[in-house]
This record gives sequence, structure tokens and C-alpha cells, in this order.
Amino acid sequence: MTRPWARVALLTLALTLLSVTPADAGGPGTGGRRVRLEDEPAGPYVVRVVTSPTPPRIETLYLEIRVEEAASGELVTDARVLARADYLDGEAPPVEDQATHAIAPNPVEYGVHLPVSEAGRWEIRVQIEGEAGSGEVYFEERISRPSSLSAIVVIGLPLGGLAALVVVFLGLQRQRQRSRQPG
Amino acid sequence: MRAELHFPPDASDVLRWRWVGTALRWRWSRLAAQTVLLLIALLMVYDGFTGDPIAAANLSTILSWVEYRGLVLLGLLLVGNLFCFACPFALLRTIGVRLSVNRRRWPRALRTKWLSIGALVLIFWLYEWVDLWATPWLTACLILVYFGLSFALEALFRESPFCKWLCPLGAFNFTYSTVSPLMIQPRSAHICHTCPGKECVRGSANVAGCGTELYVPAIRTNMDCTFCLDCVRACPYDNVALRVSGGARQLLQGRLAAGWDRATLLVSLALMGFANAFGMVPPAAALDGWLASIGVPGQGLRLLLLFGLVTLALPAALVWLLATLSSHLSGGGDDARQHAARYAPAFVPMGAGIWLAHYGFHFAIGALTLVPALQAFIGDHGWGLAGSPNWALGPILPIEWIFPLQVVVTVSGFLAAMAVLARAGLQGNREPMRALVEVLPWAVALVLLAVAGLWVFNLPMQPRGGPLGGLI
Repeated sequence: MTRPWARVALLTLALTLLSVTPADAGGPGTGGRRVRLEDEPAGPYVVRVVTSPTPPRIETLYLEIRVEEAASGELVTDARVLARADYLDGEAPPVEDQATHAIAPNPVEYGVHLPVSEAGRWEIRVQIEGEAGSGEVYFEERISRPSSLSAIVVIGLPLGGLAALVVVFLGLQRQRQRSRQPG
Repeated sequence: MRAELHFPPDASDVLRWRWVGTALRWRWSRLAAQTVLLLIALLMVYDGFTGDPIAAANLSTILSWVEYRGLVLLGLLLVGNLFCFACPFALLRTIGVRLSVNRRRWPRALRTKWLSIGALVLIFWLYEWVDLWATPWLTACLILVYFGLSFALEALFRESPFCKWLCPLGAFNFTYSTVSPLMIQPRSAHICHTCPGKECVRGSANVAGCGTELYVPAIRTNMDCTFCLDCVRACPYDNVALRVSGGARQLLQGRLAAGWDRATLLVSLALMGFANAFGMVPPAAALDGWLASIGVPGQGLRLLLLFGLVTLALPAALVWLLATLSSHLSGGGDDARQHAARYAPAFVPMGAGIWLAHYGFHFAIGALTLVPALQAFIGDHGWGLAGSPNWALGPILPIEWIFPLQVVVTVSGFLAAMAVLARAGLQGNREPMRALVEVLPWAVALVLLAVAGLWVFNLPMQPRGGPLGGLI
């Protein structure tokens, strides 16, 4: 029993690994947030930037930005906050948009969606303009290429396992019948 | 005082290994491990209530939902039920025992795994509904509820009812420890049978017996074993071993899933693994939106319907249906309950694969987040010893590896499940064709679950908490 199963398992796992290919569909992510900058000075402000999901993929980079006055620690909710992404690994159009309270989960923060178009390194710049003045922070974010399995593999792998189970049982049945035959 | 007996050397007995064995057999080993986890739990509660409200920067949420979940599964698959061994809730429970006067037996009607299943459904529902994963103070509250319930039940009842019948963490750990390599066994069954005191289960004047009332020579699986090692310390003959001899063969013990409640627990946990991952992909939000559009009010109710259906009603119905079908197809002989006991354990490796693909993913991409979060915590309290946090830390594996690993882990779980089905079907020298007919309904259910698992991991996850979708 063990040997045929071990062979089937090893073959299936090898085929599985080979079948994971880049595809247009999105790959996995956590949906979780990740702190990218914390208490980062930006002119008269200090800024926190949180990204999601983790890891960010093509088309799905989302920023939550919190702005505080550096001197008082007061939250700044009336600033104009712009986010821009520039591709560092080749040619790709930059993405720019204004961060707003409307799409931030926490209404005192600013949220923005940057639909980055390529996998690789992007420089993310956040500019803040408010009564106290202007400031800027930046960081590098790695956008991952989505990986996925085709529907045929998703369905075919388990069905292959089922077929292997049937084949093993049929083989055992034949073996038993042979052993029963006289001579 | 221990009787002096001589046993042949046994390299598979971890308790005889030079350093590890000595440490484990030390009288205070569990207390020491529990104290460490108690301090960590207190830190989580403190930071949960007073720290950064962002989950990705709070020790309460990072330690609960990233570190614990990843490590507990790795521990279960590679070693054994390490968390229950070091469980901090059980430490407070011990105080409950000391303070109690007249502890009663846990009511017979409640001696069922249905309670654990209910507690698991409740936790996973709350996890989605109130965003436990994203809310440090709620995570801290949950930890306090664990402490409170554990303390109260142990003070009122004997037989560690919280661990055995209620604790959702315990139910998860018990279930997946049935594929763990380490298992408690007698060094000599003969000594156990002639032992007059049965201290391993009854305890003695100085040492407690098994909290969940397991009798060492009767242990066939790790189910209900908290790995407390009280039996090791209680045995007057030093006759208890912790052998590297468990593994998936435990799944072939019919007693593991004896009773509808136990069989359903094994199947339910596998479906919970799917449901928990499903909550993070776009179709979950679409389903929620559809339920809202047909007039089901309130997200809490909608999620309760979804989770109640997928993790409670469906597994219970599935176990009954598969067992009945399997019994019918086999042409009589064993009844449906016996079929459930024989084949439901195949859902354990399938579930382990799905859980590992999910929790392992979070752990692989976020384990090192603990470092900057800890630095920030130390800095926030005015101790400038830890340096400035490096929030770029996070993954412990290259991102490109993770999806292929998730697929491999899920497929491995599925193949292991099929192997368990095959072995279970062929037990007792059954005719292979008859066994095949019996296992086919179960195999088809596992195929569907494997497809569902791969499909979920293949989907893009929602940036939850943001405007792009997700369940909030």
C-alpha cells in the first residue's frame, strides 16, 4: 500500500509545483494591514502609512495615512494628502490620487487606492499640504506578481487523487483474485 | 517514592532523551512553560487595551492571529500538543481547583463534543462579525474570557471540563494532535495492569492525575490529551513514555471518532478551515451582499447563517449522510455510526492541510512583524533600549514561494486523507472492491473540499477594512 501511494503522492506534488504559473487572476494575500511608516517626520507633520493587503498585488495597493502635527501631536484632518506611485524597475505609468477620509476605515485618517500596473519595486510618495505647511514622506513597496492555478488544475488534481484511489483498489482486488486462483 | 524497575533502552521515548527528557520530567516543567505563556498573555491583554489600535502594530493581535496560529499548527504537526502543555488558562484553572470546596461531576448530558463545536462556531463567527483579527481590545477581551471560563468551570467541576468539553483552542489542538508524532504510552502495559493505585489517572497525595481522566494504557490517540505530563510525574513505576510513535496511524483507531459528536468535530474543523479562509475572498462579500439583497437583516445575522450552515449544519448532515450512504452501499454489516467512526478521521489531514495553508501563509508573511511591534511597545513606554522599529520586517519566506507552498500543503493534506480512507477501508482484510464502494462517498466529499480549498487560495484576498470590499 505504502509504495504506490508514496509514488502517486510524490508525482502529484511535483506536478502541482510545476502547475503554479503566473496568471492574470489575483493571487493570495492576507487582507491584512502592514505598517510601512510610523511616526515618520514630514515637514511640520509626523505621518503613519499602513498598506493593505499583504502582500500588495497588481491593482490592489491601498494606503491608510494618519497625519499629526509634529509640535502638538494633534491629528490633522483638514490637510490635502496626495499619494503617488512611481515604478522603479522599468517603464510603467505613475499612479497618483488624492487620499480622502471617505474611503478610510478610520474617519480621521486618509485613504487612497493606487492601482499599480506592474510587479516589482514602486516608490510611494505621500505629500501633505495643510495650514502648518507642507511635507513629504516616501518608501519603497514591492508589488508581487499574482500566481494562480488554472481551473483545470484546481479541479483536476483532486479528481486525479480520486482516480488514483480507484486504481489502487482495483489493483488490489485483481491481486487478491490472482492469489486465490489455484496453481 | 518510585519503584526501581529496569526497562530496555528506548530511543523513541523522548522522556529518556538526555536534555529534553530531563527538562520535561522536571516537576515544574509545565508550570515554567505556563508561566512564560501567562506573562505573554498578560502582555497581550495590556497592549490590547492600552496599545496601538492598529492590529498590525499591536502585540495582542499580532501574537494571537499571526504568531500563535502559525506556531500552534507547526507544533502540532512536528511535535505534539505543545500549546495545551503550556496553556496559561490552565494555570489559573489550577488556582480554581485549590479554591474550590465541593466540585461536582460535569453533567452527563454535557459530556459531548457538541459544546466544543458550538464554541468553535461562535469564535469563528465573532472573528468575522466583530473583526477580532483587526481589533486589539476585543482580542484582549477574548483572552480574559478564556481565563474566566477556565477558572470558573474548574472551580465548580472535576474532570477539566473546560479543556475537554468546551475550549475551542483545546478542540482544535486535540483534533490535529491526532496526526502529531508524539504520544503518551505505557513503557510496559503489564505494569499498568497490575498497578493497584492507577495514580496516572487518579493522582496521589503529591501529584495530580490526568486532568481529562485518560488512563495511560488505554490511550490510543492524542484526542483529549493536554500533554500536561501529570501522568508521567504521578506514575510510581516511572512507566510512562512519550514516544515518537503517534502520527497518522492514530486516525485508524475507531475510537477517535466514536459517536456522532466526535465524528462531526473532525469534519466540522476541516470545513471551518475552508470557511475561515473563505471569509477573506471576494465571493464571501458577494454572498453577504446577496443575503442582504433578499432581506436578511444585519451582518451579524447573515454571518451567523453562513457560518452556522457551513461549519455546523453542513458537517453534521454530511457525516450522517456519508455514513448512511457508506453503510447502505456496503450491504449491511456495520451500522452508520461505525462507518462514521471509521472514515470521518480522514478529514483530519485534509483539514490540517487547509489550516496550514491559511495560517502558515499569515505566519510566513507576517511573523517578523513582531519585532518592530515589540520595539514600538518598548519605545512607547519610554525605554529607549530597543531602537527604532523597522516596519519593513515581516515575511520569513520569499513571497513567491508562498502560493506554491499553500497549494502543495493543501494537496498533501488531500492525498494523506485519501491514504487514510484507503487504509481504513482495507482494515480487517476487507475485500478491496467492497471497501472501495464504502469509501467512495467519503472520497467524493474530500475531493469537493480539496477543490473548494484550492479555489479559495487561488482567489485574490480582500484588503479587509478598506473600501475595496471584504466583509466590512
